[in-house]
This record gives sequence, structure tokens and C-alpha cells, in this order.
Amino acid sequence: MSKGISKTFREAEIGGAISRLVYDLTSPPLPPGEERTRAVAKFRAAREGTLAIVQNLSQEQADFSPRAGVWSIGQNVEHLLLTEQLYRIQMQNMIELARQGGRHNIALTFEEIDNSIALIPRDVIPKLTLPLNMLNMIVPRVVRVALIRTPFVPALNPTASSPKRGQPIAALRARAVASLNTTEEIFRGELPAGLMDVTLSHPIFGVNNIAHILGILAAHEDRHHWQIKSVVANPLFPPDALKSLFQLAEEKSLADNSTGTKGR
Amino acid sequence: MQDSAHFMSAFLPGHEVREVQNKLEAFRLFAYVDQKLKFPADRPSLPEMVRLAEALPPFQRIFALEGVAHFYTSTAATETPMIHLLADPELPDNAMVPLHSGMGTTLASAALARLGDSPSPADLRKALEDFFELCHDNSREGWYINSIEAMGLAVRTLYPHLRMQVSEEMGEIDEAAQPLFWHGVGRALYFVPMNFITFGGSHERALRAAFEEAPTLEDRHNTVAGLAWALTLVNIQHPIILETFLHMCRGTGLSAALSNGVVSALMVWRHMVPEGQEILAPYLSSSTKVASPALWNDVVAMPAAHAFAEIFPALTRPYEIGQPTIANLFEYQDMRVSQA
Repeated sequence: MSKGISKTFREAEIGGAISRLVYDLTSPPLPPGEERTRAVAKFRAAREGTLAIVQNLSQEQADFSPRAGVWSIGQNVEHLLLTEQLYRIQMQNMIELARQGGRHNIALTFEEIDNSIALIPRDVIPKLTLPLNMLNMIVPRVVRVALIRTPFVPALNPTASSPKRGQPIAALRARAVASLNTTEEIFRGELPAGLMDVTLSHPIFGVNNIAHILGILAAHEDRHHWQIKSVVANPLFPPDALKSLFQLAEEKSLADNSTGTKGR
Repeated sequence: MQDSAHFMSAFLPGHEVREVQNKLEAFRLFAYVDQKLKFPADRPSLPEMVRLAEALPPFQRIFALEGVAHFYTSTAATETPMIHLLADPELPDNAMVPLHSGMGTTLASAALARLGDSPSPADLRKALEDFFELCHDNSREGWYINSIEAMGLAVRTLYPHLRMQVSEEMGEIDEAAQPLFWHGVGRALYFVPMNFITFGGSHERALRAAFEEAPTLEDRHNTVAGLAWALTLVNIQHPIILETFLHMCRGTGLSAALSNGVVSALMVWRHMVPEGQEILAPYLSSSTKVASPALWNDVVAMPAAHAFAEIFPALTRPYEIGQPTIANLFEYQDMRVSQA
């Protein structure tokens, strides 16, 4: 694999991310049913990515943290599950409100979900509610979601989703599957007609319908995949299983792209 | 967007600015067709949207029609599955190329959007089978391949890391779809962000990608033909841009694929805009400004004259089962065969 070809593929991937952003920005609004279907599928794809990461993880690997203040893989997964639970309750509230009819907005404040942008202390961020709300009116949703997905803007998690250390990895795996099923279950039944008119607002995430919330959860999960990759990339990460899985996946992808194995 | 292209004119040679403007115009008409045609709040029918687009000048019309199919398909209610969308006899035959391309691009993008970044082989296969079925159910007879070619365009533009995986799965479902996929990849290479702005060797980058990314010789012919097709059609009013591109391509040994892409685009133009033949005159003449007359004659003028005389009439006859249509131009054909 030459460096030149590898660089070309990296450029193509960056180009793909830019194209998806532009496509989302310029596409006409999706019909409500399709918007929800795609959001559920995206969330499932993100969770399957998480499950693939933890599939062959040893407890030692799950608990490894490169340095103080950096979450282990197990903590990342636990945080994802707590966040999903937090927003699943809100999504169930949205469905309940939709059943009552009319347009509703559930306004969350920093007192309820105290996430923040890194470097801004938690007790200062509530004072920024107004400018953040104004900013959210200007910045398109797809750009906000892209910012959540990529770790270029560092963030602080809400206290309610702070993970504990040393959770058994087998239990985390089982919870990750069960939690996905529980979330998907709420979209399987008959949903109220006006569901997409009910919104949930938060100073950082803006005003979102239920499909957008799922999209944010999927983007958030993708973001933690980056964090997990940086933990795995640490030279002190306990050897074998996981590291070789990543390497194998990457090597396979590069090899496929360069040699062109085909189904002919 | 057009304003920013004007601003860039201070820094770029004339034809490069023209090319940026052409690309931006094509993209604007595709992405914002609802604004361009001022669709009323209650969504008009597809034939009505097509009628509005057909009133535009020829160059705008072809990209607006592609945008119409994109807009209509994107916003179609999912509760009732779409069926026979483009089979509607109210839709004019000369709108079929852009309508099938626009519909195919949207169906492909939707299928990929539901998959996420790393789909399992089973999920990908199911998504592709659904895509084939939707294209089949909604294409006019004889035009199905026009819509599935767009999968290559969507994958290379939006999910480039999936291109080998999608190519393999498409090949397993239908071997005949693989060349079409790579033709779509070639069209995408003209528009992807790294090549969108026409400075710093964007033509060279696109051609190198068409050459390097295609895994087999047949696929390479298709990517190069697709790239030449897109460049020709977007800049059809300014042949100097094609001349510059061909001048850069000399000595690459790709003249058959380049010629196929260029001539196919010219035939598609003639099919879409029957009244706009004067635009084709420079392509049938041996007079050139940048490319050598010999190169232009070999790759463009002579093959085009031959194709219009011998191939075009056969492709535009009233359709009968098994008979090729203009849609067959979406795949590289060996010129020796097509000239026979």
C-alpha cells in the first residue's frame, strides 16, 4: 500500500463527509415517516458500530485508560447507554404529548441536562443560554449534528450520564443490545399523527423533533467511536484482540480499495 | 454562488472561471429546483413540474429536470410505495435521461443513508436489492439502466469508502450493473469536493482518480467515460473546456474511453434538446483552439459525426423489448464495435 494511494483514499473520505453535509443541507425536507425510518436506521448502525468494538474486548482492555481524566472504553459505552436512557425518556414524553394533540415543545434547561462545551465551567454555561439559543437559530441542524459527530469541539457530558469505572464488559455488551431494542420498540408501534410537531429544545442542541433527537444520539455515538479509537491507539493499550480487530478492518478496507477484489 | 464565481474570476484564467460557473449553475438547478421553478405550496404533480422545467432555456432545463426528479422522489410519501413513476406517458421522452438520473440518484442516496457508514454485507445486499427493485418498478421500459447507474454517482460522492463493497455486491446481484456503477463513479469524480473548484489541476486529479480507483480495465474505461461525459455535458456551451481537458489527457492511452464519454454526452444532449443543435456544431468541426486538430478529430469530431449518422437513429427508434435506447449510452462501449 503506497502512501500516495492511502492519501487519495483519505481525501476521498473527507470529500465524502463534505458531500454528505452539502447534500443534507440542500435536500428538500423528508416526509415524516421516512425521516423517522432513516433516523432509527442510523441509530441502529451507530450502535452496531459500538457492539462491533466491544465484541471481543477483554475486561483489562475495557478498563484501560491512557491517563487520568480520560475515559476507558467501558466508561465510553456506559456513558452512551446512560445518554440513550436520558433521551429515551424524553422521546417517550414527546410521544405522550403528541397523543394529547396540538403542537408542544419540551424545553430542557441546563439545570436538567447540564452538558457543556469543554473549557467553559458548568456554572457559567447557563448564563450563555440566550446567545446559544440565538446561535442555534442561525446554524443549520446538519452543521450542529456534524459538530456533535466529530470531536473538533470538545464537550462535557451531563452529570446524569457520568459513567462509573470498572463495569463488567459482558454486562455492558448485553445492556447495549437491550437498550437498542428498547429504543427501537417505541418506534415499532402505531405512532400519533402529530408526533413530528412535538419538539424538544435545549440551549446546546437547539429545537429538535423526535427524528432529530435520534440523529443526535447516533452522531453522539459516532463521536465516542473516535474517542475509543484514540484509547485503542495508545501504545500502552493491552495487546491483542481489539487492536488487531481495528487493524484488520483497516487493512482489509485499504487492501480492498487498492486491489479491487470483485464479485465477477 | 454565482457571485463567488465572479469574485474568483480575478484569480483564474477565463475558461476555468467559466467552468466553475457552469458547475455551480448545474448544482444550483439540481439542488434548488423548487426555488428556481417556484413550486406552489401544495406540491404539483410530476408532469406539472416537468412542464415548468421544460420552459427553461436548454442548458438550464436538463439540470432542472434532474432536480425535479430528485425533489419529487425525495418528498414522495413513503406510506404508499412509488410505482411506475416515470412510466407515465404524460412525461416527454426527451426528459427521460435527466428524470431517470435524478430519480436514481435520490433512491441510491436514500438506500445508503439508511445503512450508516459500515454496513454488514447482508444489510448492504438487502439495500441494493431494494434499490434495484424500486428503479425497476419506477423506470420507463428500456430506461432502467439509466437509473441504476446513479448508484455509482451516489456512492462515490457521499460514501466513497464503500465503493468496492457496493461494486462487489452489485456485481453479485447483477453482473451487468457493475460497469454502470463505475460509469456513475466517473461522473461523480467531476463533482466531488476535491475536484469541484477548477484550479490546482482539478482535471488531472479527477482523471488520476478515475484511473486509480477502477479495479479492472473495463471499470477504468467506464470511469474515464463517465468523467468525460460529465465534463462535456456541464460545459457543452463552452467547448474550449473540453479541449483543455483533452489536451491534458494526450498520451494517456485512454482515447477510446474519452471519446465514448464525450460522444455519448453529445448524443444525450441531442436527445434531450432536439432544438438545440447549433451548440453541437463546434464538436463536429475540426477547428480547435487548445487541443491539436488531430486529437480533436480522432476523439471528438469524427466519432461524433459517425455516431450521429449511424448510432443515434438506432437508439431513438420507438422502443421495442430488447432494443437499445439512449440509456445504453450510460455504459462504455468499445468504439470499434459501435462503429461496425
